[in-house]
Amino acid sequence: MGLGTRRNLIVLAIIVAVLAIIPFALGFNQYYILLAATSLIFAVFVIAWNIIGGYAGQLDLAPMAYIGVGGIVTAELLKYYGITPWVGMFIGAGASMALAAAVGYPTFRFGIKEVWYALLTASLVVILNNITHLPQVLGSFDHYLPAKTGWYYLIFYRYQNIYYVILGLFVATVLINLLISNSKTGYYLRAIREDELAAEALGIDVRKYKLKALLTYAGILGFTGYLYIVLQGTYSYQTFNSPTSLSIAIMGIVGGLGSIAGAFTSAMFLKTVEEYLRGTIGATIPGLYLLIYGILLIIVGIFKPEGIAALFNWVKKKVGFENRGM
Amino acid sequence: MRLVSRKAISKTASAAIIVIIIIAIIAGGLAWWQTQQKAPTTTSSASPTSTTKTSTTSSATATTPKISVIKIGLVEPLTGKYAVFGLEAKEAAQLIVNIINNELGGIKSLGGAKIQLVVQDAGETPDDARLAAEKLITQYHPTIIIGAYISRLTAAVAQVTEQNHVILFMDGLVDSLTQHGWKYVFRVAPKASAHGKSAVDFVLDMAKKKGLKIKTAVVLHEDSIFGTYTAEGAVLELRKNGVEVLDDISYPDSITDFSSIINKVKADNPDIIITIPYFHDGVLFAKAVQAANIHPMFIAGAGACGYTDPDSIKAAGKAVLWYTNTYSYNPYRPTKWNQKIVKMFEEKYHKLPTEAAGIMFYTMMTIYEALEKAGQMYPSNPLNADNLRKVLLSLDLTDNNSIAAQLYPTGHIKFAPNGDNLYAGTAVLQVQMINGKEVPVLVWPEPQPGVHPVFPRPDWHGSGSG
Repeated sequence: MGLGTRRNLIVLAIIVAVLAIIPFALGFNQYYILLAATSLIFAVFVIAWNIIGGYAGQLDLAPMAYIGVGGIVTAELLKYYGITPWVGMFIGAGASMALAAAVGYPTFRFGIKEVWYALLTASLVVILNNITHLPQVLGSFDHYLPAKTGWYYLIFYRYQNIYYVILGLFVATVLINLLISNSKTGYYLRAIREDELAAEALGIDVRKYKLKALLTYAGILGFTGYLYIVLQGTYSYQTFNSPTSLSIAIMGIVGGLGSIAGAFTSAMFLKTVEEYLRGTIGATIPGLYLLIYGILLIIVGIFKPEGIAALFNWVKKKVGFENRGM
Repeated sequence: MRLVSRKAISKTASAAIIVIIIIAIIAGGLAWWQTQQKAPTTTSSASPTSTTKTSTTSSATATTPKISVIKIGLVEPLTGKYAVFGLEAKEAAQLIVNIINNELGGIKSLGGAKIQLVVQDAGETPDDARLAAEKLITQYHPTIIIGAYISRLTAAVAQVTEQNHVILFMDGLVDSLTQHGWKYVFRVAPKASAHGKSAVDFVLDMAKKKGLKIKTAVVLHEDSIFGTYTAEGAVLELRKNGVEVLDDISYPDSITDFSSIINKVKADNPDIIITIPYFHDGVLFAKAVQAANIHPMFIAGAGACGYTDPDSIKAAGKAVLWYTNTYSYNPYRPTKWNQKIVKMFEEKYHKLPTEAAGIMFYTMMTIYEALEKAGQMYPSNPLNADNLRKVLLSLDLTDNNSIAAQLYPTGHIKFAPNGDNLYAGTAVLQVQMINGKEVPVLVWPEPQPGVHPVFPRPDWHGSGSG
């Protein structure tokens, strides 16, 4: 139990320090800060995904379901009851965890795994999209956040504040990851990922630990959901967006299952490259950026199927460090 | 942990030192930034849109600043599932910019200043659209932005332009976009509910001309935000005119089977059906109506999607004969400039300009008129957003005094304080059989030469059997 080696924490501190000066380094250029905030919130999603997808090895394709539920619950609480997101985000996280429990308990109880688990979670996003589209729920309309700004609403005219809020969540998410990674739960989850039957034979309560991982992951996403809605400006049934959901899982896989550093790098890198390509050539040759993006993914798939994490390990080996779980 | 040796500790120490140094840099940077921040914000808020190489910004004497280029930003979905709309809008915008810069000689009141188009891809999701808008504003400082066709994307763009005090011309049609009290948004195009209203007005107008009485109606719509608002507009207009709305049915645009809805319509037996389809659902519906032998007095579409476009006619064949639909733009409008621009568009892109292009035509031309007038009204600071807003609110464009109105279906553009056009209206096209071929023709408000609207439907059983 614990946060692992001191070196991990030092590396985290350095990364956080670098991320903290980014707005200054960018001269408070609002576009770049918004881009950094968007990339960073995806890093939070991917690192949270790492708990269920990386450690526990469950190919979960429903991140947008938990993000959407948590975010929309928080936003509605603010809109109709005036409850500040600082409280609402916890309730949103709770709602996401309740959903995760409702989905996860029967799923794991009846041993749905591998591709079937992936299909089930992918359909969860579609189901929520359809349910919230009903006139009794959100209907066809776009819903707007209150037109107010300030820390009470977590809505700001400039993006640096929200960037730092996301940075705080990022630190919390990484610490939770480290805690899990270095605890009994982490070892159990990895055992489940490698061979579920063998893990069960060793006496691990597979269902309990998988559910634990799912709840943690859903809780983090639900908590972050409101910030994602703030970046989007509106929410509607279309917040439950399957392509975005898939892209989070893809970033997690490209990063390397079970690696925090890999998840972080792949989210920051892929999101930034995607936006950079769209911003530079998207208007002149529409669609080309998607092609380049796809080719990049294929290259990673061919040369480093274990993900970016494997690249780090290779570098570490060359430099002479051994991998200690970061 | 002690045993890990001095090396680890020294590493910790060095890392700690690095962190402290970085924090110190942050603190220093913050202090520096705050001292720096004061000056730029005040000037930039005074004239946030001064994009051009003005010789001196603070002109003590009210001399006309030298403006050579006016940047207009375009944020449209150029990739993803909405790309078809955004790409056409971009083509249209480029065409109009060419006309303004070359044929009209730029903005004359601003010394022949040229318009430069800066384009960004709004992508598919609101966060992409927001990034695109933010990039446009921080890197190019456009005077005016146009975008983003899809309501969610437009809302995201509007939040950015509103904060930065940049005028946004919206080509998204959903009603709610102008209901937020946003100050710097304008919309020339008819909003969704105006489409629904126009479809009803057309039918009632025709019935009156033919001496028929419409008592009952059924409204059908796909359940997107656009379809819902369009249907609302239709239902309100029907009720206002004393027509009983027997049913208001919504369905997902991915619908594959209309039989239960058709049964409902058959049981209701309305005089008219107002329908707001997306695309393929319109084809399905028309075929289902044909197969079910439903013969109401009239079936009118609304919302510019389906029925009268070439693809729907090809797919549905005879089933869509006599169907109508409403459009934000009328490519057949017989004004001089409209004919000319349609011809230029066809020569350049080898297709007829439709909804997205048409909205861009008159939106760009309205901007042109506004800039001309701004140069006369505010010669010292014509590109300031607040000045431009006042100019826009003072515009009253008609066929006689502007190019923009000649491109607009109603021929009249005047903005309400919320940014919507007070004289918004649509054109109605009908599928008719001409020389043995099904073609869409303009029938309303004024039919194109040699064309008469077909009303009621020739297969109507008459009021007796209804």
